[in-house]
Amino acid sequence: MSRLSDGGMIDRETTLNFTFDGQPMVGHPGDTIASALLANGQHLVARSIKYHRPRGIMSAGLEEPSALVTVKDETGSTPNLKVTEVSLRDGLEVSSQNNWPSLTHDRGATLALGGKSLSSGFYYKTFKWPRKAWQTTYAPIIRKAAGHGEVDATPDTALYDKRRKACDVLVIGSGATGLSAAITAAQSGATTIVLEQDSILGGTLLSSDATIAEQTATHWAEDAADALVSLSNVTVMTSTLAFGQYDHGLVQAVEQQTAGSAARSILWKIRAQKIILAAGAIERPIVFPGNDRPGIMLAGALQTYVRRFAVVPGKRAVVAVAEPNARADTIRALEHAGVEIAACLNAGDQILSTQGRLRVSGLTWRNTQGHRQKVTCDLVAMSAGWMPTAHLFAQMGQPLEFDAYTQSLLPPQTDGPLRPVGGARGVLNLRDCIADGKIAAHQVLAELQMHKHLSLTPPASTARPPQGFGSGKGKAFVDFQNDVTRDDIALAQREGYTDIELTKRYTTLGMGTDQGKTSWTNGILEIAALTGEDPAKIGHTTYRPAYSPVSLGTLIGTEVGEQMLPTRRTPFHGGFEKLGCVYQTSGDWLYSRYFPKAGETMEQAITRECHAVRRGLGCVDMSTLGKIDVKGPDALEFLSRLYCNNFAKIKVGRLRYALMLREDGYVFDDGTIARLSDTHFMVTATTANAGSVWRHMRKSAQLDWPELDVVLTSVSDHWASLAIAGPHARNLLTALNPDFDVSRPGFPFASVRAGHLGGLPVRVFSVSFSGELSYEINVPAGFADTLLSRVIAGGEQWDITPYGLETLDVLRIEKGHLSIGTEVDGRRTPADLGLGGMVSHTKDFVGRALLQRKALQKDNRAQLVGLESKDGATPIPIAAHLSTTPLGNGGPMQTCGYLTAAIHSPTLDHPIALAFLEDGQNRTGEVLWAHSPIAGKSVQVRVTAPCAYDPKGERLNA
Amino acid sequence: MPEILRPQPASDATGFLAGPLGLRLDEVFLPLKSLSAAPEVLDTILEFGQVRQTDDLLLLRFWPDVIWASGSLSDPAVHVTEIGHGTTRFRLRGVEALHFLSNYTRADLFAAKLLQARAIRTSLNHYDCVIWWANTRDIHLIVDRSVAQSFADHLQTLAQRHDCTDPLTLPRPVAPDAPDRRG
Repeated sequence: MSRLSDGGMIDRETTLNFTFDGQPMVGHPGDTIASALLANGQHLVARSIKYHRPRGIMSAGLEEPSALVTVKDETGSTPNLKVTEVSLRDGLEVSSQNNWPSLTHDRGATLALGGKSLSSGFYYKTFKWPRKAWQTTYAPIIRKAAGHGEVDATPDTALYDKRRKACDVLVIGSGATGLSAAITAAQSGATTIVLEQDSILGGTLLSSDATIAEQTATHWAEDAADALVSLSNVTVMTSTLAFGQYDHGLVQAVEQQTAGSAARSILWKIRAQKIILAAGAIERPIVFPGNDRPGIMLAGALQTYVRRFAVVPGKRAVVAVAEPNARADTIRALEHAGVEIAACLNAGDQILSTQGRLRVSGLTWRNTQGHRQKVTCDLVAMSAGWMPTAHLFAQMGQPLEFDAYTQSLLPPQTDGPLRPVGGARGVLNLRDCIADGKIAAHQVLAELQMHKHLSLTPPASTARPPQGFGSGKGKAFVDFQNDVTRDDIALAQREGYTDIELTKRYTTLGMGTDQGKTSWTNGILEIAALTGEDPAKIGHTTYRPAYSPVSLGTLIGTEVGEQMLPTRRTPFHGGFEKLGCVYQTSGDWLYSRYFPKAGETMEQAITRECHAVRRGLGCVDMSTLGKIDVKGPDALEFLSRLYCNNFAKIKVGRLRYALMLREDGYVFDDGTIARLSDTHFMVTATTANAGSVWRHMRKSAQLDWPELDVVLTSVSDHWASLAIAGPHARNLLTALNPDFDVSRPGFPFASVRAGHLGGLPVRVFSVSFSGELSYEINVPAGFADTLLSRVIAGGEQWDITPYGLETLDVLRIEKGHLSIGTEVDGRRTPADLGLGGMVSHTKDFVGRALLQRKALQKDNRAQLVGLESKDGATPIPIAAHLSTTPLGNGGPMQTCGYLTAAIHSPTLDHPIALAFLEDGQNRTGEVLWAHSPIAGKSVQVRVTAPCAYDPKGERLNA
Repeated sequence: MPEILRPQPASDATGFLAGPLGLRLDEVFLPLKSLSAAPEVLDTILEFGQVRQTDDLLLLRFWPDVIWASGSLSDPAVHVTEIGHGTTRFRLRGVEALHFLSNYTRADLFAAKLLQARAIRTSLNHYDCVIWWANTRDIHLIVDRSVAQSFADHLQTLAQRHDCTDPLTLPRPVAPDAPDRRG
């Protein structure tokens, strides 16, 4: 074990067992996988994506570019996790990725022998011919050779959740800056949320040996954390990564739950009035030949592993840290761990190369006096400076600006809800960070009018290291995750991909799961050095959420299966379920589809149900129709303006079929208007348009005609509606013991009656969608079960048959009735649908003006027609297109219409269809071809009227 | 003797939700009426965004021109429409009831204004709902009847995602008819 005998923030009393590539290892609570691997002496963790070079752990945080692994637990395996972001748990199975047959002997490493031939654009330049081989040959080989882990295809059994929070001040990050900002905000009474992606608060304080107010930094952080937790207006959320900032102060964060929790992770949507971004800064690696070997680590990360995790990361170290204070701090940490300092490079030294196969074993450099020097080592601590973690700031579209003073991308001054502070705006000195957090909190509190304005001057950003390190020639990596070298960037510049966006896409610089956290600033500086351009003008590519990868399970939350969306059920759902109903989703409704008997196919059931309605008695659930109660002295005038047909003379107790147009003159919806009293109407809308008709009516009443005294109430869910249809419908209605006259003259077609059926309060509408004698019985929804059981019991003597959406569709096609979305498709005028005669010429209504447009009045527009197969037997293919000629082999052909519906009519016992046909209403009797290239069928059809069954409507008045 | 008609419930919610929160969800029929009138008329009855509940009267106003009412209220200036069968009232009880819901509502139920009004029309994930409460552990919710079962199932699903280790949601089950001790 490479673990210090004491110290660190790990629980040594408890041992956690895990495996790496099958090898048993141990760690402790408080460890990450990274610290546990290092403590077990495992520096080689991964192979690089392109060259399969050995890679180790470079960092101690989310910026880790190289050490990606697959982690398997009881819920399955997850690929591409950074070892630095996963807290160690007992029983984890950790596997390396992208190697074969093993991590130490990876045959893919031979690709590195390709040298410069595998540079940027290699694929584009090489695999061009033959064209088909890309899919069949090249892509499979390349995908096998280069890539990360494999997705676990088994169902994910873990639970996820999405939740919301709101606060006055959201503090992202809990280092010195974040803690001071949070305490300042909280003590002023602001509701405060602190987000920390780590499992404990403290940030870099946890790996610092500095003192604050005569305390160690760690103790200061603990005290601050205790103070925050004790405040009732503060919510502290650890293991929670803020990964995206959105409009109006919305931040999304993902909380990783501890093992054993009900949910694996929670996606938080946090709405904050002010956001303090105290996410710190990321250390910048040095670009030099061979800078990617295992054992070459960021200096700050080494301090973390030594001080927080008590890990001894090596025996002999070379320190290459540009900033003098950071250099001294690193040396202190290494010496504390008993690591021998083999060499300490000075700023200005030129690093020439490193040695070692699976781990660094030596480093060669040329000092400022020009002397070439070489030492053996198993550890290199490197640092070229720091880059602010201002990604969340830049996600809102405001770019970061390169600052020569700090040699990094800094967020500009802003008055938006998010304020970068501390390291996130280049302030690196510990005391300055504490002051900056406090000042920022005072500022946002003043803006929230929770504090008086204080004239405080925030500390300046920290200057860049006075001098960096030089580099020799060789494979010097800029982007470790994507194997992008300095030479790749140079090649992109030479080949004209000079724009930063093009450089990124040509070289893959900044792509991948780390999104260039360690490579962007170095990339810009490399481009600047190559081209002589001002780094400030080079800019950066677009920052987008997520800051760090978020699992799809987290993003989806509970929205899988039946929890995807709300499902609407009609009041008859339970009753129909007992009758053996098969349901289908139709929009957001669970709709009764058909009612099969034992051994019946769907087609057989539909045929039986159709015959029952045409010959005897059926019942169907119509509850999904929109129902709007319209009241008031101006109710009739209001409806008259909304619908295009005349119904000014409609009498109380009668109803009319009505057509509603959009303002552009096309048909919007159809339904019925029933007059319940002089000033009271009940309007129905189609299921599909129930919501939009309701909104349209509300908008018209409130905005267009506020002078009308009319009251609208949606009663769609209040009334359950069951239609009884068939020749025995009136017999059944009579049997239900109505307290009103249901005789033919007393209750004619197109009427409405309010009363009781055997004591059950009802409104009965004599309307028909099936073409048979039919009554839609409306009851308050809570009494739906009672109505259904009475209807089934009362209808037994006529063998009442419940039917569903499928049969309803067949019956309406036989009658040529319209369906929203098929015939009423948003491009039809009333005349197109054969309803031109309904349009009033004596009143104004919505859509009237634009209906007069020439294009909508043309004679040869596509019009609704019926079709039957010419031979009376051949099925008409669904969705076929109509043509006057047979289908030839000459490619595209002229069509004159298309089908909207096609069935075999159980009643007529031959195929029929509905179609839109150019000038169709004048082509009755004409024989056309119905072609369906998809079905591979062409059938000759004869044009008929849309209504194929009982065209005179005699059965409605039987 | 005439049959006594009792409205059938819209869901099967009659008991404790899964999970350690000890939340109980019950459906309770509420004979609501929609009272419609000009906003200035309704202002004299109840201010916008407010709820008023007495022993025999419940008033909820979340639309300028509509009040939902249960109980006797006669005013010749308002149009009355029965809507009670089209809405479903749920009662969610438990120490963490309001905290639990606030995790999922678009509105922050603990916002200062709401803690005064104790009522809001908002959405809970994909569900439009009206919420009001007398205290934070006895919450009333109204959704459309057609989504009632789906809504109850959804709350059940959400409750399963909480656990005892959540410091915000300590497991303190409460008996369904336990007296209120806070709020």
